[in-house]
Amino acid sequence: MADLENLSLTLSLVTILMSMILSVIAFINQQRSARTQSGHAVSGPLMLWNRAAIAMVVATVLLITLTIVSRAVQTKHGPFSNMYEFAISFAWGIVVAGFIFRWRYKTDSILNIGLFIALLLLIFARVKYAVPNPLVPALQQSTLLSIHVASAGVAYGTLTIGFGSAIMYLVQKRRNAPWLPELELLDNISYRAVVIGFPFLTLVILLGALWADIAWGRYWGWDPKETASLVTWLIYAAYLHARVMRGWRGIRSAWLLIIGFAAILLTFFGNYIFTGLHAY
Amino acid sequence: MAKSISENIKWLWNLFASMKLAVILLLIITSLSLFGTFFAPVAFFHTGWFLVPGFLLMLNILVCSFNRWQRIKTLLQGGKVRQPEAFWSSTEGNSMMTDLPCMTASLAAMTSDVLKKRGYRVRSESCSEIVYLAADKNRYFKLGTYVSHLSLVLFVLAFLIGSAFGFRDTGFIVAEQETRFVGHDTGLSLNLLSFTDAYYEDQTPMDYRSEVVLYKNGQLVKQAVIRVNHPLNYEGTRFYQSFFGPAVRIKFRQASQDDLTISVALPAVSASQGYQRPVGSLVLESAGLSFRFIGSAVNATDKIVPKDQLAVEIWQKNTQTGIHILEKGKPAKASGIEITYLEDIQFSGFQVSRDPGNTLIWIASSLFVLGMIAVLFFVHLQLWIQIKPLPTGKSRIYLRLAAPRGFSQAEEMTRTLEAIKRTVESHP
Repeated sequence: MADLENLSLTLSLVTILMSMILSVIAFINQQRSARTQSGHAVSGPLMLWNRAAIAMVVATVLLITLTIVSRAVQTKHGPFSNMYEFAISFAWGIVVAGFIFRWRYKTDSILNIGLFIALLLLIFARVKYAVPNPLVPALQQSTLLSIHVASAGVAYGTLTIGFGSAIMYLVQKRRNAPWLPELELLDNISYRAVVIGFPFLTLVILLGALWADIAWGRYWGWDPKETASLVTWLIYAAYLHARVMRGWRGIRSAWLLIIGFAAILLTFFGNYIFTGLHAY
Repeated sequence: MAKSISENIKWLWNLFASMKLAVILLLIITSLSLFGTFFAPVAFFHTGWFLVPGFLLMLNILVCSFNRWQRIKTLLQGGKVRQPEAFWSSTEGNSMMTDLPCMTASLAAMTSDVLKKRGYRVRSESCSEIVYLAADKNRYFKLGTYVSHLSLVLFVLAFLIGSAFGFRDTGFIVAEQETRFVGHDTGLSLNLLSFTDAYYEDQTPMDYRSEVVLYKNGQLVKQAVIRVNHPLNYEGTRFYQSFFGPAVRIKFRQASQDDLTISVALPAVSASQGYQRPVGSLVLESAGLSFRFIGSAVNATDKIVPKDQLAVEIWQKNTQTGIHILEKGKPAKASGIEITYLEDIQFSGFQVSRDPGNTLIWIASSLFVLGMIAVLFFVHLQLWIQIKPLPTGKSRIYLRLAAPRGFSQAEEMTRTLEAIKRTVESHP
């Protein structure tokens, strides 16, 4: 089973890289096609490149899922007990969220930013491979542990798509590129990503507090990772309030999302910077 | 002067009713949290630097909620049905118009039915052959903001209740075979029957278990096993497995008194000459003596207090009367008492707490989630419709939708209009 886990993880690295390369080829062909036969529908070979890129994304989702399942079979619990396992879950969240947003909004560029971040996370996971170990007593709370960390995977994955959209927004604002989605759409995708990700982020904090209350007898202890996740939550709460109530759009809200994603990274890698109760 | 005071109050009210202030306070709290995490001890979060912005945010939330009530109330009631003519000449993307082969009154009735089926509340008014409809959907979900804001206030209230009426003892140590009073007017005492620490093959911890008996005013009320993630809860007082360490069983024999066997926890560490030794103390009131027991070093082979031996300092009224090395199982005479170091045991460290605000925390959490779902996922839609007759015998229907930006207004209006068209077509 460990061999299957390693193989599927390695293959997912290949497929994610392939999907990015295929997307670039599809994009270059699209530009050429636009120059030579402007106004025509997407040609056959071009569609083939796009389909191949999407097929690779689907393969990536399946392979990361296989990695998670084979790991779970070995450890008898969800892939949520160390940085290696959580990095894979985070990458899974990004690719799935990116795929859903691509399907909903018919735009490849944001998915590609998501794929790039997921690729970095999978490389990080490959480097940080950890032999399956049984859970220490504090982590022996499978229900809460699973929902707490799974919610983090979904929240981080979705908010990463919001970040990708915010980056695209800033690029589009500066360059007005025809190959990028319109500003309105990018702003809308960012907002939708936060609307989905924020409740999950809230769930992460509330379930973490519930778990802390059961395990350690206090729901909040200003543990660095707790505080970092609160900081992340506050940034996204500020984004939602600023957008809904103050009508913040465009550049300012895009920058808030970039700061929010930096806070996610701080929370994720926080245990390498500061010590606390969280081992990952 | 009076005017000046009222102006100041108005200025303050407007300041705290401002969403801009809320966003600024959120960002300040975020920055302070980051500062507290990286550069300050945990106590920073209990200082005025952190608490004052938190208090201001609470005030901001309360004033904002009061301030918005009139607008929310109008939304709940529905506002004006009949809109002026200029309202219908909008060229924005949130309006649509079509002509349908139907009398105005029947079209209004059919439109009303369609909207009701689509979950809208519909109100109507007529004026010189023109029918006006005002419809809205998910209006009560607008109250979600209040539910979320109420939950934030409840969080603070729960914290205050917990601080005022609860207690937290993070170092409640009980050695095996020992019974200790919990205190804090609980009337509870905890007896530790046994403590077990188990490890996996690679020596990573597997389980910590304390088998305990709980007494209230001397009466046994509960027997349980306390483990990490499995606290003992009795009438709101909760015992959490927290830490553990070495302890010893000591027998005291004094002239004309019964033998006394006591468990002594050694929770402290004495560092001396490179040795780290476990240390614990005991007061024997019947003898007017206090004892400081020092175990064999845990980090090296101890030449002064070898394994299976125990050093004991004996004190009488702040004066040390002697120091002895006890051998396991062998009685020794010291300060007129016979002391026997019987065996090595363990102590278990618990966190004991009572937090009357705890239930409120979970109510607040649930309210927050419900409020957030209501606000984010149940979009408040307002639709205004004007139906007027045309000289051709047809009727012209105008639709205008108000929805938050980001919501697909065109899609909603197209669907509604298509449903109206289908209904008209199905009625000859």
